[in-house]
Amino acid sequence: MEFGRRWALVVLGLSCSVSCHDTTAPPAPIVYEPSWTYKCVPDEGCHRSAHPQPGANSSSLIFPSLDLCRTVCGRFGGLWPRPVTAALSTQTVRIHPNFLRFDLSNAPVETRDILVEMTHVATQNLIDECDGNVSVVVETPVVVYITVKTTNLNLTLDTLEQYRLDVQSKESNAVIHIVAETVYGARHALETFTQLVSSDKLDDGEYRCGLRLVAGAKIWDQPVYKYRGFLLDTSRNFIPMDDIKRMLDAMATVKMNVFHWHATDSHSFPLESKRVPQFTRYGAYSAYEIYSAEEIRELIHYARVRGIRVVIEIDSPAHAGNGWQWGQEFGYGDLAVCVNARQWRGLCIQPPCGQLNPANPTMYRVLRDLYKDIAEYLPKPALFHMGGDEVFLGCWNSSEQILTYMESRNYDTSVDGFIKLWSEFHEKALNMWDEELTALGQEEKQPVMLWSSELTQAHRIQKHLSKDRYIIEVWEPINSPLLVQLIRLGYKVVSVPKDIWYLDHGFWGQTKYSNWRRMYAHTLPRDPHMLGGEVAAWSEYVDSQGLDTRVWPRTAAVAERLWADPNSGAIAAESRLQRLRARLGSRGIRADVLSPQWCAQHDQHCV
Amino acid sequence: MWRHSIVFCVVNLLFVLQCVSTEEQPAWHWSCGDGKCVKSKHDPKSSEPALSLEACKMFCNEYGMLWPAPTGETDLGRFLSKININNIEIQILKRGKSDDLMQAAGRRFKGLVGLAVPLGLTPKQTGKAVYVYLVNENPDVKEFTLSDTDESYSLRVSPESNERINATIFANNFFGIRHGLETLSQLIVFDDIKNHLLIARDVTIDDKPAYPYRGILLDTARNYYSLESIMATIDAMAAVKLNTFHWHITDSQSFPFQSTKRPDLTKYGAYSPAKIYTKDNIRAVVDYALERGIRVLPEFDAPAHVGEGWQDTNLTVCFNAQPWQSFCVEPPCGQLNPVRDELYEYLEDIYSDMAEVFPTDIFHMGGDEVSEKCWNTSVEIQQFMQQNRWQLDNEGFLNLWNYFQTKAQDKVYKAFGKRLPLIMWTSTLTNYVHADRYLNKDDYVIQVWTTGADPQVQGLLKKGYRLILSNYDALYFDCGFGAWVGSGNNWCSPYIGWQKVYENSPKVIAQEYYDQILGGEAALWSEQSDSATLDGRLWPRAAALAERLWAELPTGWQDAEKRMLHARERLVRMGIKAESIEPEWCYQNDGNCYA
Repeated sequence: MEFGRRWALVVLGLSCSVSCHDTTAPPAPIVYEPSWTYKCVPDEGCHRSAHPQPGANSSSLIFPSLDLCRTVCGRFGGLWPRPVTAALSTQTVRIHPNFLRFDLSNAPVETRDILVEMTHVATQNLIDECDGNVSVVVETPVVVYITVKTTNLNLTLDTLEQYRLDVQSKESNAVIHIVAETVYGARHALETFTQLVSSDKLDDGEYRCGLRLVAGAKIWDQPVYKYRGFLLDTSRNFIPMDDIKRMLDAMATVKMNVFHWHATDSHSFPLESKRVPQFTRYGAYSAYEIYSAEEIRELIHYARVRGIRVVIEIDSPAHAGNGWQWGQEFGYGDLAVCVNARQWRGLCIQPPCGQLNPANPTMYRVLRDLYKDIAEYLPKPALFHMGGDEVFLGCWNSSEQILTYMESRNYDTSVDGFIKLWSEFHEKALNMWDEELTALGQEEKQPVMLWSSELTQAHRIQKHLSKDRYIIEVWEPINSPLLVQLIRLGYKVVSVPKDIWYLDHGFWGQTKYSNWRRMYAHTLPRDPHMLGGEVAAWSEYVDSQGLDTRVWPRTAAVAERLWADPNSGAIAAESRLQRLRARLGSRGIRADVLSPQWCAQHDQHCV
Repeated sequence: MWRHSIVFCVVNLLFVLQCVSTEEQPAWHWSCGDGKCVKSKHDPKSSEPALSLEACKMFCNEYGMLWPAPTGETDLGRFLSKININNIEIQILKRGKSDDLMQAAGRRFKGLVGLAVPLGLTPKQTGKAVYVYLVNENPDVKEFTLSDTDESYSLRVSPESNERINATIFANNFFGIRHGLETLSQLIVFDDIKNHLLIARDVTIDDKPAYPYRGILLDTARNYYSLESIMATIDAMAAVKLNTFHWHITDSQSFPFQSTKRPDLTKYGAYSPAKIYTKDNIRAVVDYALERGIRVLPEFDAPAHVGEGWQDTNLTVCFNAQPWQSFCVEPPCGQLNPVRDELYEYLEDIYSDMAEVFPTDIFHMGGDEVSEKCWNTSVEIQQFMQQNRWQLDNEGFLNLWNYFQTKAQDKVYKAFGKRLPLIMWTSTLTNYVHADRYLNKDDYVIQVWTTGADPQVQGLLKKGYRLILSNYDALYFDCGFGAWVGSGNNWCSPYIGWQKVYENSPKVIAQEYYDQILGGEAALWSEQSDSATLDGRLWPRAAALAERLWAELPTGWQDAEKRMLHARERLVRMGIKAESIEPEWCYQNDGNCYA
C-alpha cells in the first residue's frame, strides 16, 4: 500500500479507503439468527451464555462477541503482553478508522517520518480486526496525541521502550495520549492502543463489523528484559520474504524487539553478498531462493518500523558449507573443509558438513568481503552474530592443510591446540568486523554475539573471549550452570534454553515438545547482565508451509515472560492468550489453536 | 478446486533453466547412480544431456516418483517423451451411469498435469499429443460396497506414432479408473532444463490396493473446520488413493451437524450460527469426495461424547458435570440417558437426517469411553437397572449399554432402510472376552484405537471380528502437543513421525488373521487443531499411511524416503500446507540425510 510521507497532523481517514474494499461474507447458513452472548466473570474470564440470545446487545458485563468481552474483562483486558499497570474501563465506545487522527505536534521533527509509518501499521491493524472492512461507520472523532521526548532513532540494547497511554472518551469524541521517551516506546503504545480495540462482529455469517474502543484506560508500561528475540533459520529450509515479514508482524504484536536471522548454515546460503556473488550462486537452493540486497534492506526497515532490530548471524567457523565450496575452482584453495562429506558422523552435527578453513588466508579475505556487505546492511549501531557453535575438531583434524598450519603456529593436535585455532579464528573475525565498522564511520566498538560452546565453558572463556566485546547466547538446557556462571564472570548473556524455548523440539529424536505453558513458566535470572531471551525456530522440520503454526502462539508466551515477567502463571494468562490468538488470525498469522473452541468460549472450564 | 498458492519450494525446480543462459551461473543437474540422484554442476557447453531433478527421479528408483507404490507389475520404461500440455485428449470408451464421475476425474487429471508446471511458467507448446483411453468394464457402478469395491486398474503407456502417445487405463469400475488417472498424472513431469512437459513413454502398471478401507478421521466437533479445508483434505486424500473420509461430526463440545428434524440440537450445539454443516454443505462434500473415489463415512458418537446441543432435551446425564475428571475423559461431560424412550426417537431422527445426506455403505456408531460413574449419577437410571435385575456393577452397566446399543442399532437400520455394516470403537463393550455376547461379528466392524500390541487385537481377530486399525501409538495425529487440560504434553505424546506411521503394518499386527483387517485410518482429534493447522497435522504423514495401506510393502521407511519427499512436494503444489520433513538439501541430495 502506498502512503504519502507527511509529517504534520496526519489524517489517515481517507487513505484507508484504499483498503476498505467490500468483503463478501459466506452466505448466512440457516435460520439460527439468535447468537450466543458472553459474560465477563471477574477473576475467571468470559463465559458463553446458556442459550443463544435474540438480538444480542452489550449491557454492563454481557457482550455480543467473545473478542469484545475479552477486551474489557479482567485487569489486563485483552492485552498481550500484559503491561506493568493498567486500569481499564469495562465500557466501550464505537470508533471508525476513517475518523482516527494522529497528532504528532509534540514529537520532534526528526521522529515524524517513522512515526507516520508506525501509525499506518496501527491503523491497518485496526482495520484488520474487521477483516479489512469496518462496515459499521460512526463519526466520533478519535485523536491520538503522541509525545516523544528524544530524537534518538537508534535501536540498541539501551533504547528506552517505556510509554504511558491514556484513553478518555465521551459520547462525542475520544482522546488518546501517548507519552514515550523514544519512537519505539511510542510504537509499543500504539500497539497497546490497537489491543484496546475489538470488533463486535457476531459470528452468525452475516457480515457487519464495527470497532469498539475501551472507553477509558490508564496504562504505564516498560519491559523487564532488553532483549526479546526470535530466531529464524532460513538455511535448512528457505523461508520466503513474505513469511519473514509476517513473523515480524506477529513479533511486533507481542512487543518482541530482536529478529535474530540465522541466515546461513552448511545447508544453503540464501543471503546475497554483492561483493561475493558466489555465496548464493553456489549456496542457494535455487535462483528463486535468495534474499537480494534490496530485500534485505527493505526487511531491516520493515522491522524498524515495528520496533524490531535485525541481528544477522553468519554462523562460523562451523555450520558453513554450501556457499563456500567454490574456492578450488576460483584458485582460492579450500575455503571450507569437509563440505558435504558423505561419512558425516564425527565431522559435523548433521549432514551436510562444512567448516571454514582457518589455514587458508583467502578464506579470511572472502569473509571480510561478506562482513563489509553485512556492515552496510545492518542499521547503526550494528549488532552482529558470529555463530560459533558446534565446531567439530574432527573436521579440522581431517585436513592436512590445517594440521600443517597448526604445526606452523606451534599448536599441538590436542583439544587445546584446536581450541587455540578456533579462538584465533574468532579473534581475526572480530578484528575484521571492527575494522569494517570503523571504515563505515562507526566510532565505538560494538558488541558481537556468539553461541555458547566448548569455547565459552566457564573455565575457558576468559582466555579466549573478552567480556567487553561478546554477548554470549546460551543455548544449554535449563539444568546447565553455564548461564549463571557466565553472568558471575561478568559476561552479558542472552538465554535460549534449548529444552524449553526451541520450537523444533518434539518433532525429532528424543526431544520433547515445549507447550506454551511450559515456555511461559520458565523464568530468567534478574541481573543487569541478563539481557533477555529468545525463541528459536530451527528449520530442519519446518518451511513456509508450517511456519505460522510452529511459531505462534507459543512464541508469544515467551514474549510476555520477557516483557512483563509476571508472577502469575499460565492459567491466569490463558484467556488473554486466546484473545491474542484471535488477534494474530485477524492480522493474517495462522497461529495454532490452543484448545477446543468450547474451552475458549468457557474460560477456566478446561483446567 | 485447485488451490494455488505462492509456493517457493516448487520454483526451486526452475533455476537451472534461468542459469544455463549465463555462463557465470553454475547450473545443477542430476544423474542417477546407485539408486540415488546425485547433484552436480552442469557445464552448459557440455553435449551430455542434462537431467532435471524430477527427470532423474523418474527412473532412478523402481517406483519412480509414484506414491503409493503400485502392487502389481510395474515397469516405467527408460525414456521420457516431450508432450504438449494443450494436446491431452481423454476418451471414455464405455458409457454408463458413472459418466459424470469419469468426466470429473478427467478434469481433475488435467488439473494435476497443470500443477506439474511451476507457477508463472508456460511450457513449450510442442511435443506429442497424449490420448488417454479410459476402459471401464462396469460404467454403471458408482457406489462403494465395503470390501467388495474393486479398485484395481491397469495402465499402459506407449508411443503410437511420432506425434502421439497412448495411455490406456483398464478397470472394473470408476474407482479403478480414477486411481489409474492419479498414477498417470504422477508419470508426467516438468523438465526445467528443456522447459517441457515430459511423460514416461513405455509404461506397464498393474495395481490394486492391499486393504479395502483406507481412511482419515476428522473430528469437527472439538474445533470447527471450514468447508474449504475439508475439501482440500479430500483433494489430498485422492492424490494418495485414500478412500474413506470418516467424519466425526459431533461430540460433547459442539453439534455442528444440521439436523432438520431436531433443529434445536444444532441451534444450541453449534459454536456459532456460522459454524454449522448444513445439509447442502454436506451434500457438496459427499459429491466432491465421490468424484475423487472417496466415501464419506458419518459417525454419530453415542452414548458418550454428547453434550452441547442436548441441553434442553432432558435426555442427557452429567452434562458439564464437575469435577469433570470423575465423569468423562475431557470437559464438558455428557452422556445419553438410555432409559428414556424419547431418546430413541431423537436417535432415529438424527440417523434419518444423516441417511438423507450421506449415501453411505457403512455407518459409524461411535461407542467409545462410556463412563459408568456418569450413568450412576442418575437415580432414574439406577432404578431402571434395578427393575431389570442388573447390578450397579461393570456387568450391569454393560447390560445397560447393550440395551442402548441394540435399540440404537435398530434405529440405524430403520433410518438407512438397510442392514448396513456398523463400526464401533474398541471399548469395554468390545472386550474380546465378552464382545460376542453383545455385538454380532457379522453386524459390526471394530475400529481399534488402543495400541497395535494390545492383546485385544488378537483376541477380537480370533473371535472372527473384522477390524480397522487406528492404533493410537501410530495413527493418532493429534499426539505430541501441549496438554490443553492439565499440565505437560497431551496424553498420547510424543509426536508420531511419518516413519512410524509408515511402518505401522496391519499385516504384522494381525499376522495369520490378516484377511480380517479391512484397513486402517489416521485420526485427527481436534482438541488442538482447526482449519489453521489441519494441513500440517495430516500431511505428509497421512501419505505414509496411504502407501502402507495401499501397498503393504515388506520394506521400511528408508526405502520410501526419496519418493516420500517428492510426495510431499506434490501435496504442496496442490496448495496443501504439508509439514516439511527434512531440509530442502536432502530433497536435492538423495539419500544423504539420516538414512
